[in-house]
Amino acid sequence: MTQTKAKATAAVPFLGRRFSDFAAGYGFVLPSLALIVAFTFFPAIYGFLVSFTRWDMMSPTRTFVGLSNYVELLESSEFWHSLGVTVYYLVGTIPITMALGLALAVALTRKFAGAAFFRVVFYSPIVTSTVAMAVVWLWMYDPLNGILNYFLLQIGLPPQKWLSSPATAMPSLIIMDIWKYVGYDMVIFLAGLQGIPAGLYEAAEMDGGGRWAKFRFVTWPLLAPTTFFILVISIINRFRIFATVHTMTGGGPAGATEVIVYFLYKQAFQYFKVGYAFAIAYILFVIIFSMTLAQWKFGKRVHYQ
Amino acid sequence: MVALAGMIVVLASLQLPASGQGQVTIAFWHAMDGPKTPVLIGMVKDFMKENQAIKVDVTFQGDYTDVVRKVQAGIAANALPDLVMLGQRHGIPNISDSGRLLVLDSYVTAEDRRDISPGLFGRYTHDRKIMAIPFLISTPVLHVNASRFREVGLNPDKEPATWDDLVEYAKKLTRDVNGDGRIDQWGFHTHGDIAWHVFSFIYQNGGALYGRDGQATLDTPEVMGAIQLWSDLVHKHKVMPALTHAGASRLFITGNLGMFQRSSAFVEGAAAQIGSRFEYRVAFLPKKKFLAVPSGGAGLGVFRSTPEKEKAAIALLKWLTGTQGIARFSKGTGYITFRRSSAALPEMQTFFADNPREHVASQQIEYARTNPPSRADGAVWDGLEKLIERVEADSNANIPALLKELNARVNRELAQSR
Repeated sequence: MTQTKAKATAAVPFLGRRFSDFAAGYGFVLPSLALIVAFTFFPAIYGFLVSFTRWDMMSPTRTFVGLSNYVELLESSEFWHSLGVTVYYLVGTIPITMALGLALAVALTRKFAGAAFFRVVFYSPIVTSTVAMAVVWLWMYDPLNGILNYFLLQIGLPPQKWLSSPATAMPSLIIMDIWKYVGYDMVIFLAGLQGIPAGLYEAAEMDGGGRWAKFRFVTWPLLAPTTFFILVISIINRFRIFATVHTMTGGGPAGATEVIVYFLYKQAFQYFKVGYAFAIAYILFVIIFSMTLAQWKFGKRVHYQ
Repeated sequence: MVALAGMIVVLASLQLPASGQGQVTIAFWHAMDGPKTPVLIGMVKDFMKENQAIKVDVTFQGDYTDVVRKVQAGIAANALPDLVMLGQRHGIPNISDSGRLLVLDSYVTAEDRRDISPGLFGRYTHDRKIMAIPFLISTPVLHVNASRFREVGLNPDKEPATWDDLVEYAKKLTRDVNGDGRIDQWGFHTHGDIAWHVFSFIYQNGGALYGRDGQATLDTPEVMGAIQLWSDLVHKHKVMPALTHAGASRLFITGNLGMFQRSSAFVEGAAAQIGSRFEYRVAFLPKKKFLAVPSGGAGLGVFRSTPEKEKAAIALLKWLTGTQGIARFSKGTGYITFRRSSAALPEMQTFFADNPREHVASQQIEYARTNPPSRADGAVWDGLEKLIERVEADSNANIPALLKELNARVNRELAQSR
């Protein structure tokens, strides 16, 4: 009896303190939690349910169709085409962007006058509005009046069709994409480089290692976590490409740049197949989620420290 | 907490009508950009002057496709305007079926029906109910560089009357002026709304998008002939540069295009940009079996709300689409004076005498064709656009096979959408 009483009296201030701690903690996370729930979790769950219906987002009635949206999707040549186009884009852009980003980072990690200036210059496309940037590139790529063709003609090369030909539209998007993202990769690599202890380079020098040997046997292996991080983040980000395609090509010509998110957009807003579009979104979700899982699983393994 | 409560109160008060007694505020979503915006805004302002009790919030929502997308989201989110400009390209059946649009049959008078060609209502009629009133109407016309015509020995007073003429004229107009082996002056081109221009070829050749049963008829010889002409203009006659429709307007304005098929709504803007660079004229499109053009543009629809708001929205709609409204809007923008009573106004007669280009465009409306709105309109538009791009990119594209595949695809979409 006395024991329980003692426990209770002791618990009051204890609980009281815990409650105020809770309140403060939840108070701090509540605003962003509310936003995440309202704009991420709720639409995600709602969309999952809609993906089993036939609905145009306008009609008061929704027809439950079970898995038929998913079945139709997997049988649709247009879906596989858009997935193929997206993979083409990933494979075209990520390796080159990463290689250039790494080269720039290695060059700009040394201290010399103007290093900071160049870092800012190469990073600036990342903070530029995608649509504004796309419009400027659209002018440069113009096959009839564009400045790129003007330069090609000046140096005696044949003018290109750029975004106007199914064969060159995707490479044109890839060139622009590399230009845009190389600064991002550079900054992450710079951070990675600064985490490598200088002593390791000194040791390598004592062992008689030259520049290449230092890069090959110190920088590259110790950058592995950074490289892996950039690779995964790049795949996730590039899978979601939309704004440049929407502004520059509309998925054309002849579907050559119809990436998966643009395909989804057209199904929802031009074909009015919102349930079907949500099914596409969920397949995209599974792909991106498995990338994230891969990062969790293998991200720890590529550590040398 | 107090601050938060205070904020909610402030936010809530913003939602209250900030107007005097008996005043009603309505929202109007439109799709008029560039020099056409001030014309529309000016009209709405004058309406408000005449109707002090009505305040109109006008919002530009992007092009017709953007408006449909925003309406689609607005229906789901229950955040709709009172008056909306609905393009006739696609989406009307779906928007109508939401039940949110006011059926307008009872607001269309017998006089309106005499004054407006019935075909123009057709594009806004779903399940035999009028869902929007035509406001701005356009058809594709042939924008002609008359100076270039004379240079190559063509008579600009004699327009291309047939497809054969079109090809013949375009061949003459296509030239390599500076002799570098590359063509720098082209004979013919169409604007980027490819599907709309394909429609005109199809109609001229006696084809149609859908049959009487509503099923797609895109695999008929008439449609094949239309696509074949398009392909020939690019590959056989080499008078139209492939896959450069986005740059065609600039090509025309800078004087490097002889004939340009684009909406009549382009007339005013083109004239301003061309200035005195060359003599700019407008002609009818050529014919094959028929003289025929698709109609385009947008109508005005009213979303259901409160009786006061609906009344105000209807008042604005009637004001904008009345005899005076249509005259004023087409005079300022180059859209077609489709109301007979508007065209008969003395001021319009003077305007046409001074502006023969607008007159030509207005006359061509007699040959406009439409089909009732279909749920497959979006699929047809997208499908024909892709098909043409494939044909332009590949001189060996199998047109009959591509059309057969598209026709099947559209019919599948139709079957699913029921």
